[in-house]
Amino acid sequence: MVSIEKGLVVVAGERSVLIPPTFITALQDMVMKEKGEEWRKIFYEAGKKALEEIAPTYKMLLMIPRNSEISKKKIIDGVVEIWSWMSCGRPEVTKMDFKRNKFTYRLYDSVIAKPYIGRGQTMCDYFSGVIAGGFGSLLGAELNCREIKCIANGDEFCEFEIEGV
Amino acid sequence: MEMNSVSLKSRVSNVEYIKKRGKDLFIFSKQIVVLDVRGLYHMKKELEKGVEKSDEMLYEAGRLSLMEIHESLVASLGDAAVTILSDRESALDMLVDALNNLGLGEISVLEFKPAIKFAVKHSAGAQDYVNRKEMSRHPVCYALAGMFAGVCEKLLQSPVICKETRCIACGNNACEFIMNTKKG
Repeated sequence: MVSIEKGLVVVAGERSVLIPPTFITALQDMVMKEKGEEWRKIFYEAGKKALEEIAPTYKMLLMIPRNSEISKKKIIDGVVEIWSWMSCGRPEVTKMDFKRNKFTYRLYDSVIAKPYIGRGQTMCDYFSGVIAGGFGSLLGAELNCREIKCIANGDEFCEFEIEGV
Repeated sequence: MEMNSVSLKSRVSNVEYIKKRGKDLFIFSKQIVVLDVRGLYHMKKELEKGVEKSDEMLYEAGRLSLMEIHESLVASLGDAAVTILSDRESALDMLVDALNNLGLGEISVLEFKPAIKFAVKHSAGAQDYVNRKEMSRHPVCYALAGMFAGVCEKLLQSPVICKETRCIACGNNACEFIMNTKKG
């Protein structure tokens, strides 16, 4: 899943960089200072757009057969397996309702939220965008993702609600 | 001098810089995350849309994150850090060797004196511009420039400014960065 050669890192078929989470959290902090709550949309959109572009690579990697209930479950399981290799925390999908395109996604030990523990807010908007873009593109639906629990808010894990727009 | 270089190399896990614990990745005991290059590109683009001085923010985030890696390296070397890192030129070579495992592009040191200059082939900060055939009038690798500044600042123990002088997003063959001492 992770290939490292001189200067080049490829994870799940996509060129990637390996950086301390501080890169994202420091950037979030600076944007928050200037833009207030608007920081959330900026990071959400960045994650969503990136994953919309990456989705075709994931489809090839997962060798997804044509649409069916089973293949949709395979898609979700496959993408969660891929994301488990991102060193961002341990992901898990706890609810899947394909008819209504509703999902619940959990992330244990979110590396983005960890530095904010005690802050009393949800902080993983970049991941929310990633989930909306990734699930949405792979399932062929416009999805919205909202973080409803976060370790930065005193919860045991970060939890995201995903549903059709 | 050579001994320092050899000992640094052997002290940092036989040059296997990236370690796995379960599925999590670490460099010098510091956890690192996978950020796809498209994510980096879109983060930059979304910031440019509505944030003033977003280039400076990317630079600063890069600087802080690489300073953390340097601090982890120092911690992993323990008491030997001072001796090993005292030969700055060799230490920089080793650090570049480590940085070449982060997917930032193929980094090399072009010059150490009078100013440190880096070259980066296939820079992660600019490769997406090339892939999208999006030409830029100015260099775009602010995060990388900040990362180099972070590494050099720690190594030289003096504040520096890193400027990108050539960039593949502007049509150059490789990106180049020069480090200047920060005055005042």
